[in-house]
Amino acid sequence: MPRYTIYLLPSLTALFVWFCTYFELNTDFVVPTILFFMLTYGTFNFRRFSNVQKLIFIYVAFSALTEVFAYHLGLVYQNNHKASHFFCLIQTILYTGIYSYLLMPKKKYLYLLWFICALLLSVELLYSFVFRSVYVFPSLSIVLLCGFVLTLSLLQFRSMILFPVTEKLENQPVFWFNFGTLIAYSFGFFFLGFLSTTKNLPNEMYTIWWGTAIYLCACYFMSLYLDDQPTKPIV
Amino acid sequence: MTPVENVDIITTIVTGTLLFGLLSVFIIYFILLYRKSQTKLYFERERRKQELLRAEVEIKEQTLVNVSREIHDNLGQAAALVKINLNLVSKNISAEDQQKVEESIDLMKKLIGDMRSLSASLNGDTIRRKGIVAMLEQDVERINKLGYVEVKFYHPAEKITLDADQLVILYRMIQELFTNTLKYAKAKQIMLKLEETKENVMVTYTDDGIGFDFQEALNKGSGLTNIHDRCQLIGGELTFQSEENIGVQVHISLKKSNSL
Repeated sequence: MPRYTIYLLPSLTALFVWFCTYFELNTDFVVPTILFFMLTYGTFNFRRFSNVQKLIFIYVAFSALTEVFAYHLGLVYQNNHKASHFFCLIQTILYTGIYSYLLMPKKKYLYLLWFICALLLSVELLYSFVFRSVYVFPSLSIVLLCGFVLTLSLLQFRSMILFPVTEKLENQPVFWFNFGTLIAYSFGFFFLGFLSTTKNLPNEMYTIWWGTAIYLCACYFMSLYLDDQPTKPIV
Repeated sequence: MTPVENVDIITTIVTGTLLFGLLSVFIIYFILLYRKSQTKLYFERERRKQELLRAEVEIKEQTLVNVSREIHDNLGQAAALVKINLNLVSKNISAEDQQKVEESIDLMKKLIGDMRSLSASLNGDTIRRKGIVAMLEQDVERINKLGYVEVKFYHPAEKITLDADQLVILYRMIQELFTNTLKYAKAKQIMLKLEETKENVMVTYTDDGIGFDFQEALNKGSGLTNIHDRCQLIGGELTFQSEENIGVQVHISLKKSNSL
């Protein structure tokens, strides 16, 4: 597939979903389809992935598992928030792992990163089991996670500028991973912040949030796909 | 919808738009900054490459000077001694043997002449002193004597004025072209043309050999890479044209003002 067509994949997917939602078409198949593609592609190419991409693939696999788990919980208990609590914990660990590979910090900063991760996990666990219930949506945990991931993503952008490589930006898996993360988590941060102050959010906001989640998936797919491709340096 | 709900929605839309606007600005700014740092990296790499190349050329030149000195001082001296001895021996022998010794003396003279010319062509200082035209004339004469290929050399009457280092490197590039033709091209004729304008020195080199695929040859890391790198080092422009069984045409254009 020519590269220039695949660059448009995340935007086209998100646009397609928003289009379907606008015309009230069923879009339930989109997320499972993307996850299925990513899982299939990742499983066959897992050995060829770099360590970071292996972690990203594990993240995708957990997303898929959570989707199934949430679906099952919804069917049986009519409440699937347990899945969100579980996935929030997993996300915290995986993002710390991924960014500790990407940022390659000095030892003391690496310890600091994992210390913050441990702190965040403790807060999330306390929030889930002590201050709130696992049957309620973990908005505070997700807001904290968004803040954490956004900071790491911005640090990664800084690191990319400080230590550039000769490969074109659009061909770099790390760019797509970081780009998707920045878009989805900044919107998530903003959305949940608003949700806590007002209950009168327009329905479109939910659609956009969902769209950014799909955009995130598509960007991660790009990241996995490009990791497997030969490099093309500038000039 | 109540006025409070209305305000909420407007605030959400405005803030959301602002957020996406900010994100877009951030991404565009990031891309611009990244391109800038990539360009910086590219120039830094190029600079290092040039430095490395320069060091490599200097080392090669020094080696050639050493080889040239060795040929001139040791081999040349030994050959001269052999010639003197043969001269001495030739006086006290029969007429039949004398003829053979005289043939050997002639061969020794030729050998000494060739060694001197080879020694001169290897030594950068000689190239600087004599100029590129005189040196190339010697080389052309030597190649023509071999009889495998006929070299036609066109050059301006006046001495070509170039920076000393450019001169040596250009001369080495032309030597490399000769070597490549003799080794691989199976050519019958070579045409070398040297031209000089106020600002440029142009070299056109043509042979009627079997030709080659330029990109393939460059990837193989042959002498072509050497020529290409050296041309870059002295700020020249190099163009190759080659077709199978038609031959090769090489054009080198060099700005005079450039110096190493």
